[in-house]
Amino acid sequence: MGEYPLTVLVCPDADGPTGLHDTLLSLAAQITQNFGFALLAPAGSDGIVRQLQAMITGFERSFSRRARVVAGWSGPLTSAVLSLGSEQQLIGPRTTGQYVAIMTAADLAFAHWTSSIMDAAATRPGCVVHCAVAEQPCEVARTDKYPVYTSVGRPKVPWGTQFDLVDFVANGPRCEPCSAFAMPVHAISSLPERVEGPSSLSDEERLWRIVSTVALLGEVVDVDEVLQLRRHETRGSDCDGPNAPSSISGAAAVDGYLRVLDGLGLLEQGSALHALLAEAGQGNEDERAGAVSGSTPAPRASTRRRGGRSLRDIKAFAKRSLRR
Amino acid sequence: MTSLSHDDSSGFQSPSRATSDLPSLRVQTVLYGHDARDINRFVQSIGAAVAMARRHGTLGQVILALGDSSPAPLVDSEMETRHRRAIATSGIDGYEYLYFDENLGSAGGHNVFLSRLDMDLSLIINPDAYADPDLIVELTSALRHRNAGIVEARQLPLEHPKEFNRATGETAWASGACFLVRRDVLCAIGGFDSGTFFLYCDDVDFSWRARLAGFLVVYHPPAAVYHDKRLDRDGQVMPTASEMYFSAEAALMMAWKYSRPDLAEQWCRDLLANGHATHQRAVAEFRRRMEYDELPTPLDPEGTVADFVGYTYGSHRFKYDD
Repeated sequence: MGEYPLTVLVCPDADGPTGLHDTLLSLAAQITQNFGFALLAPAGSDGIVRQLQAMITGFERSFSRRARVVAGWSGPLTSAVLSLGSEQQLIGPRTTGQYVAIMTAADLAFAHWTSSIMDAAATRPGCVVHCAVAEQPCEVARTDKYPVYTSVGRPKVPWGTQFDLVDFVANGPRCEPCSAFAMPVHAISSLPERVEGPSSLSDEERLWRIVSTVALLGEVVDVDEVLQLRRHETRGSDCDGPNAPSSISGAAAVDGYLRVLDGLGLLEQGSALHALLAEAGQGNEDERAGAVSGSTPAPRASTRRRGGRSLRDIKAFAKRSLRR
Repeated sequence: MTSLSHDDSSGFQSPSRATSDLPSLRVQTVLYGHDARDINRFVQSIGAAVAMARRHGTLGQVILALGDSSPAPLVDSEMETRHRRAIATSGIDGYEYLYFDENLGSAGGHNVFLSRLDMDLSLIINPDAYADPDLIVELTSALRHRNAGIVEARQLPLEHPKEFNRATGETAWASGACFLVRRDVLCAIGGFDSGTFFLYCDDVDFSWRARLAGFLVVYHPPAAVYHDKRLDRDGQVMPTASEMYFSAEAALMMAWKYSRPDLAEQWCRDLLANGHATHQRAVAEFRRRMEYDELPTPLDPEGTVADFVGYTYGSHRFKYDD
């Protein structure tokens, strides 16, 4: 796996491999096979490990030999990500690849994903590469072998094609899927330790922190194309998907993260993110007041890019976001 | 293994018996200007899918057939050697590359192979597809257990939106991007109507004729194939100019062939009033064929299987261009 410039970490759901076979098929069908990949099988799920190994060995040899099934994975996903490039890499032999991307079993890559992101990385070495992600509502069809997703609605591109750091941070952990990013391994391995946050945080929140920080500290280049598709299961409603508002407090996550950045001296005075932090405090005050009075929080703000905004606009936007 | 040059056989011949009790299979595709890398990737994926089917012990003889409608041959001896090497351990018994030396279209190219009627099963698949390792196992299993004449695979990353019965898998038609068909279907209805449909709707017409002959068409989601389709920045599927032309022309042909001249005329008017210049050329071609009496003989006057819903064939779960 170490001989390829890109490492893809694939994370099956803990409760089974729904959609995972599709994810692997989309990787096997990539026009450019310039990557190695690891499947992180959850601990205590020997059956799933066997299924994953069987899935992998069914593919042609030139693909399957680049796979590693990490059985009994018990740590958070972020530990695997953060260990990349280090001597004690957690997913096996040391990766010498320059980039890492993360996919879940809900993700599918379009056939030019790896070629496009590595082309972009070649034009701006060391930058974070961002692509657009489409989202499609699906239902799960039970089959004799394993459940599969079938589409029930057309794909949409809810997050736009251009990365906006302030939007990304302001909208919290359930903003844009991590599959939108390929991150330079050297930038991840040199992240300040506190960024990851305490172990009580979910993988989702920790990954969001990592992506945000790597983007903040480095450059982000947009591929400006839809290269990934995220399926989300609709159980009769459009709001049950992985990106639907959850019980995670978006405002608290944003607030906590910004305070970490501030503590590390990563927020410049007067920057948009610093303004977000200031607004976060006010937003939390308002949120608490709202909770006491029983008023309804403002609806979730759109995450589309807002080009050419003034700091005042950003503050207003951040305030709305943080109140949700 | 055989490697043949141009074979202009046409018309459907008497079936010959396969030597094994297990069903024989031809995996067939039609090339047109495809990239060598795509073709090699396709062949490798078919090799893995056949190897998996061999492990399940469900197939007799297997032939991989590549027809080539390109202006110049796409497969040279070096590539052919590479293909043979790629499939050597997969259990594929024969490899055939056939350069047509003319553009027969997808339907005409497939018919060259289908007309031989020498295999129990034919897997029709696009060369820009990548077969899931379980593809053939799943399709043949569905064919056996659901008593279907045609079984269609699920396409990724953009699944075809046509409706299907969640319990039985029954669907209005099977997409020619990837389906498996039994020989008795071919014996009953012949191959694709290549005289009417050059690129699009040949599969809808084929399925509807199969259903008129009493065969079931089944969609089987566990059988998956990756078909390289892409989205633009708004999440819309990007049609090529040839897709726009041939799909419009084919729609008019379908309306005519399935006894809906009223619909054909209405679509002509709509396309002339609101369509792109490409669509207007399609209308002109349809009217030219009508003038020269080159349109197909209408079928299904009762509308038993023909189901036109807007500009689509059969009900859809959703539309990509909404």
